[in-house]
Amino acid sequence: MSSRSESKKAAREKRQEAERVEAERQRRQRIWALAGGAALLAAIVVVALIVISSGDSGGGSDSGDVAAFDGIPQSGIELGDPNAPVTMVEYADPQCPFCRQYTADVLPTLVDKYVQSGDVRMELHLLTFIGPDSDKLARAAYAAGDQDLMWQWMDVAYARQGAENSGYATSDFIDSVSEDAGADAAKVNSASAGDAVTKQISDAAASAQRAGISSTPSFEIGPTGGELTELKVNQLEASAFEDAIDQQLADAGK
Amino acid sequence: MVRFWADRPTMVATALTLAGIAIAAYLTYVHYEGISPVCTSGGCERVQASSYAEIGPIPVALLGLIGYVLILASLAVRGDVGRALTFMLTLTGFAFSVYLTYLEVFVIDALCQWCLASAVVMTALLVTATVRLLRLAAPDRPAPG
Repeated sequence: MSSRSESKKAAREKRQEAERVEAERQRRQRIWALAGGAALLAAIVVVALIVISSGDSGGGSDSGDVAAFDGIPQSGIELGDPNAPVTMVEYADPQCPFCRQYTADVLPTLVDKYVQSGDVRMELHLLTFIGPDSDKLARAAYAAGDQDLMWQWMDVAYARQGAENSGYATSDFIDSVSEDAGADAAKVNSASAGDAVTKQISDAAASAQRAGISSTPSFEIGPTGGELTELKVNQLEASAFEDAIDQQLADAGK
Repeated sequence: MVRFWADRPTMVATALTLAGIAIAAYLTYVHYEGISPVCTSGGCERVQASSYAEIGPIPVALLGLIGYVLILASLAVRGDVGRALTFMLTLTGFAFSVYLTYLEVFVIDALCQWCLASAVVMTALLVTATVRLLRLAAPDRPAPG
């Protein structure tokens, strides 16, 4: 009797042990399946992110809004009435995406509100710290300044901004920007290699260094012909600039 | 709460995730404020201002912050599915960090110390998440947590 009971108990324990081993095996299989699934899902997410990221930085084919500058006096790097009481200076790199954002989202409002009315004159100093494409673009933009079309030129170039240092600033790219900005492309090309443009680039870099500019876009503001101070903004929105400009105009008695 | 801290890999992963959240939150803050991050490597602004700093309308820093918060949430999910979820998220974060570091070194040509710190944290998180998952898969060991 006792022997039967023991053998029954042993059989039950053996069965339970087999069930435990089987359960453990199934659990391990499940973990590996989960790990495999997780890895696959991770790969899909990462590939999607990379595709969106690289496509996103490829730039668009917009033509900018060159008409926004119609009828505004322009001379080289300057935009607006030379006798405007307030001067606002922008330091920008043609490849800098925040500079593109400023030009697309903020500049039109400021031009419309303050430059058209003759209250503010603007200067655009192009820096080339991001890389070789910056240099090619800045040279062409300064060269377009000879035709008093620098602001239109940069507007179009920003609208078509490509991935940084991808070599997108080809001669074809520059020619098409020149044409859509309304400039003579051949004249832009010949002037962009000239000493005058080289000097403008080194002057902008020296001026930025003097002003302690370490990032783009950076801004300075002050009375025309007077001392300029850095205009710090927390956000690239027109309202962030308007307070400082209004203050300067009030100081100038406007 | 006690169960949440019950095993060492989970504890380590939680600490790493909190560090990641701090880094990503700081980078997200400077992105939206348009200010320069504190930087000793000299390339932070350039990386931050690069066209790769955003995916569509979403800053990469915010994407990182969301990722770390999801990882933290996954650490609180018990059982095999929770561990697999953490593994998936950290693997995604790690692979994307590798891509971003590649961009910094070979495309943008500037290094951002905060981004590198996040990449290191994410790598450590992947190792920890893998340990958590494989511990479960190892034979004849009681499942922790």
